[in-house]
Amino acid sequence: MQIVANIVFLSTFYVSFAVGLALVFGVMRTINFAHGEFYMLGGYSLWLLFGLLSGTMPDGATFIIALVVAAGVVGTLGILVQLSIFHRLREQPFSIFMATLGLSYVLQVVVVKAIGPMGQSVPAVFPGFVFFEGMILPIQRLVVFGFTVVMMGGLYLFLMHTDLGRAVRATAQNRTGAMLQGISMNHIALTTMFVGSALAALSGVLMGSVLIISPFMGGEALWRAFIIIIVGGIGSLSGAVVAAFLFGIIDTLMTTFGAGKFAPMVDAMIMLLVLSFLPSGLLGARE
Amino acid sequence: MMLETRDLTVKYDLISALSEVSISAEERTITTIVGSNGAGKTTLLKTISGLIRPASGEIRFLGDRIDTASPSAIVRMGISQVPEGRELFPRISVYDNLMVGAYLRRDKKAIRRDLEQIYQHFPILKDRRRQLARNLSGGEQQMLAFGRALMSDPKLLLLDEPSIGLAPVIEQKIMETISVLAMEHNVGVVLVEQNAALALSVASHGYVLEQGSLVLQGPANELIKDDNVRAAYLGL
Ligand SMILES: Nc1ncnc2c1ncn2[C@@H]1O[C@H](COP(=O)(O)OP(=O)(O)OP(=O)(O)O)[C@@H](O)[C@H]1O
Ligand SMILES: [Mg+2]
Repeated sequence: MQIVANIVFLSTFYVSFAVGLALVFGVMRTINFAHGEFYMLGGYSLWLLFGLLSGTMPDGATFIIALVVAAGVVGTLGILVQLSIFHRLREQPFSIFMATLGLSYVLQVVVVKAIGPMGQSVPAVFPGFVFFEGMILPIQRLVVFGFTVVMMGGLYLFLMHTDLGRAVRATAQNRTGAMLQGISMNHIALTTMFVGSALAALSGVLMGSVLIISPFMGGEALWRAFIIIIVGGIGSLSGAVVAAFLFGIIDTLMTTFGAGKFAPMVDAMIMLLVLSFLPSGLLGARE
Repeated sequence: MMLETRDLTVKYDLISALSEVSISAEERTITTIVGSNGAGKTTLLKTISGLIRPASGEIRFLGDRIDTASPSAIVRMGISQVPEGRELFPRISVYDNLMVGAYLRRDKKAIRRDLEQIYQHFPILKDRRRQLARNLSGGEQQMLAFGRALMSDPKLLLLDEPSIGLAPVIEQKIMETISVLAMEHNVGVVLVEQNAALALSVASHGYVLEQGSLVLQGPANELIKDDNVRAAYLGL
């Protein structure tokens, strides 16, 4: 049973990290190679705010503040990336690749110089365990799980039940059609980058409360997210969620049976396998 | 004059797709632009909607220059287009497609009223409002594109070959609706067509476009009798 809990924890992490990247790619057909570092900045927001505020208020409040601050700050950073990189270099995918890759190194170096290359961790905000059906469930993990569900619910409500969310979906499906309805592409791009980047930061705060926070934590997560998005079907958020659970299961099983170090290789092979039978991914648009 | 282009020249790289095209369209009238494949019809409508920038010339709408305005500003001013190929949103519902058409509007009540009106014109859209747009037939998709354009409550409607690929019955239905709209709702219509017979039968004024240049213009009932038009476009 413990394995089920581990699968759920890992999968929800994959979802929370990958969904912002999938959103940005689906709507704008561009990839932010600094998405992993935005996630990392979320982790450091939590760590910094803990240092700053601990003792002055309950840890739970600090945790909530970290979520809000990280989403706001990193979301704004996303807007700056949109204005300074994606907009200026539009239709030059290679330049965008170089520029955002450059940004990801810059952010890593800034954190290494300012804080240090060593991993950091924050004390559990919600310590303790719950024992349930033979499973040991750290309360902190349950909280992270709960917040991830809330985060996904919020994204779902935004996309499915607001006019702006509907415009975002329409733009992802047909840019020309969207422009002809009066939807401003700049506005949609800024909205999408804000939301996508804020999601990365929220994921970083949540995972920063249970994992080691390091300047390099974004790198590996990013490659895993690429595999998830490609297998899920480019542009499909529901596909990304399905693929996140698929890899959550596979990676957890491999770790449990002592083959964790082969997981990236196996994942890549599964990606190739899926692509050879379903070139547009599990739930990708076939058009 | 509602819409006016003056000496409009549009280029793709160095090749001119439109050369010094001057047309005008009035409210409550259907103005048609007929021309064969590659004449520049779509280019003209895209330029009016702000998707392409002209190399020279001007476009005025209700007196204001719009040739440098953004597509969004142009929709806001009251110009809406049913584009070539329809450009629907395939994986959202019929209802959502229609509501995206009302994206710039905030008058909730009037939006509901217009939606009901479109459902009355095209009951099939109401029956299928929960289906994905890509699951509609060609004719239904054309109705949806039409309904979506109306949801912005336009003053001027640009139609790019609305009859293409449709069965004659539906073709007729679409043309009737266009006439009704122009008359009842004070909407100006610019109708672009390869099917000159059909277009000239509903329009009051017409232009003939050949390889990017206007070669003929006049009242539709005269153009339909013109020997050159009959020979070139009506196959007579
Ligand atoms: N994106 C483009 N780049 C380069 N040339 C183009 C482009 N779009 C159209 N053209 C050219 O411009 C000319 C006019 O094309 P346009 O699509 O406006 O014609 P049309 O009258 O709408 O034709 P049809 O009846 O086939 O729709 C054609 O010669 C076409 O090949
Ligand atoms: Mg055309």
